[in-house]
Amino acid sequence: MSTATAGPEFWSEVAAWLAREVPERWRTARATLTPQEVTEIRRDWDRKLFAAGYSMLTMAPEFGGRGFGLADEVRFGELCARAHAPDSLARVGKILTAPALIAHGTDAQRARFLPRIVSGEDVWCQGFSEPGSGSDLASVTCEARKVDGGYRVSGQKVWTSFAEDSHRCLMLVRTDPGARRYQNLSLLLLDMSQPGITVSTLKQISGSRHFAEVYFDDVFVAEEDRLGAQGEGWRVAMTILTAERGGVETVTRYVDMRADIDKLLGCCVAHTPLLAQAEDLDVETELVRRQVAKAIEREHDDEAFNRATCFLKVLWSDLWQKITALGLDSGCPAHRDHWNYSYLEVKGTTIYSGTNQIQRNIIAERVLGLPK
Amino acid sequence: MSSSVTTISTAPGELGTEAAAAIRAIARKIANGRTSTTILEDDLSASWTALEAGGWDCVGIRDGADGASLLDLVVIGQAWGEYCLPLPLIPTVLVKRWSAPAAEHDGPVTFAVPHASGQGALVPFAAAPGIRLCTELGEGADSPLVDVDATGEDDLAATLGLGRTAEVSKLSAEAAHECAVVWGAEAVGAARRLLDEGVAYAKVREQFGTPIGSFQAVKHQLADGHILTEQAETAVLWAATSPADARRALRYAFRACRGVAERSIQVHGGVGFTWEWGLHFYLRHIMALDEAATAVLP
Repeated sequence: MSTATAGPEFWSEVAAWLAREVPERWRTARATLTPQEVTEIRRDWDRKLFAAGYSMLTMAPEFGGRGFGLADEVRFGELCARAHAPDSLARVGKILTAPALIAHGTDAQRARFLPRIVSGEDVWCQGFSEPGSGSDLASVTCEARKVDGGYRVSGQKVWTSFAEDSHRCLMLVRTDPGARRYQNLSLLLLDMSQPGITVSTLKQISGSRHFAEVYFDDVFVAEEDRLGAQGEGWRVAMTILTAERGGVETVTRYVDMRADIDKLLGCCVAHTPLLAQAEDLDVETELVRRQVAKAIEREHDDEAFNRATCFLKVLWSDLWQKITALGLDSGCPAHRDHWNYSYLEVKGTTIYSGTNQIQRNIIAERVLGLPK
Repeated sequence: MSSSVTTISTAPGELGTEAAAAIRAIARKIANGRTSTTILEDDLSASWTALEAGGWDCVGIRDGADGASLLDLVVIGQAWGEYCLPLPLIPTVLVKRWSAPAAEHDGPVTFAVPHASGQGALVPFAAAPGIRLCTELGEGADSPLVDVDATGEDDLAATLGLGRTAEVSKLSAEAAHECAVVWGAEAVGAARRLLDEGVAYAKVREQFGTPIGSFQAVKHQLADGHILTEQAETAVLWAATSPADARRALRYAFRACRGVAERSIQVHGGVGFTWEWGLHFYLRHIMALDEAATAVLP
């Protein structure tokens, strides 16, 4: 629970800092940067965040955070997005690994990993999905064979963002082949610098590369690098995946969608039927932002908070696809490249982080109480 | 640049929260598990007396800085909308808030809203026992109350007891904004009820030997109903806090509420579109409030 609240002087400090530190070429010429330049700028951004004390706003101070509340974290995310700040290269460690370590890690694990996550020195990736385990995540087959002092990991992971640049992988693996479903998995904190790991990037339909597939061939993980008990991996993974509930991400997306909708209104201005549709999408875009605001006000009422947040990902991703599709329909010559790219690029949003179909199952079962 | 997400405040005050809880409890007791079909055949004069005895008809009256805010009325409207009882609570609350003669009057009051056809007006609860009509709502409005001079009935929404009259009541911009927002809130309550009915039905109705709520095609309809209900509420709160955006925000809200009704009817299958089952009372309530809100907003 948060103990501190950021005051007005904090926010003016943040605004000035963003105005000063966001790299000019990231803000204005991002499309011209090479993948290496993008990675370097993002890595450097993590260093700047840490140096300024903005790395982990909501984490408790004893672990190196600021102890602020959700509202502050969302506001910081919104300011960063509006300033076109780079996104953190170390974000998986900050968003997933750090809360997992705090909730389920040993003191030794926290002491060893948390400082390097906060500082952004260690980049983490998330090894959950596999070619055969997408929506049915509990069916992962990547195997961790018990050996003296630890495990030997073999198998394949996919959709692994940041894998190329990662120092560690938070991995969901099968440790107990004979045990029942949900009790046969463990979470490992795997060192990515070892031999036996092959990373290849995946090119998306837009042409961009945000993901990778990773092959593990008999890679060692020490017993002490298991998070939680053996066989507890599913339970621990579920607490990680539901912890954040998407407020910060949604606000970040909102800022990008707001830029798109403003562009779209311009593209449709001379075309009355399309303009009416664009204006409807404009309303829906504003409602994304206001939904987050409403959720924050209900932060301390678990049930109301959950009702307000459980569909944020469905909301923004469905809407963004409608916006980009209407962008295509507008046939606007000045923004042809933008809409072609965005339309293809946001196709993934309704699939990753749990497809929107799985999300609707979750809403129906966990919020509305419908039978499995 | 618009304000930060975290500086938007839409929470009701203590008054609103408490009044909404009390009004919801009274409405539940009056409805007593009955459908609108049965409730409409009933004599509800004792129920109205109970609402008046609690002072809930006067909950919108402001006394200097005290009194309900619009955000308070939004939660009250939502609570009332969950039951769609054929009692003139919401018009009475709104009229007593915006007319001094109405505030001093003991008994239900209503006003005349432009008819969607552009001809004449509709008066909610025109035939309620002892009801009086207010011809002017706004800051300092002091026109005396009159009798309802209904020339006929309108059957769109039985739960609103709509009568037809020739003359439209005059509404200040601020009063019109508040009326439209509270009607939007009432529609959100009705939508939430329709969603709850759909969820409850999907849990008990069995086909292929299993509750239909276990099928993904049904789950997704209801999940979308949940999303639309939440977003409709968010839109009403937007309309409440930003009068300049009220028209487009409420347009979205009413459409979303209708979307919830459509999904609930679909999930109910055959009974969903029968008169007797009664889902249509809530949908018609939403449709009539949509017309009224659209008619009063500039």
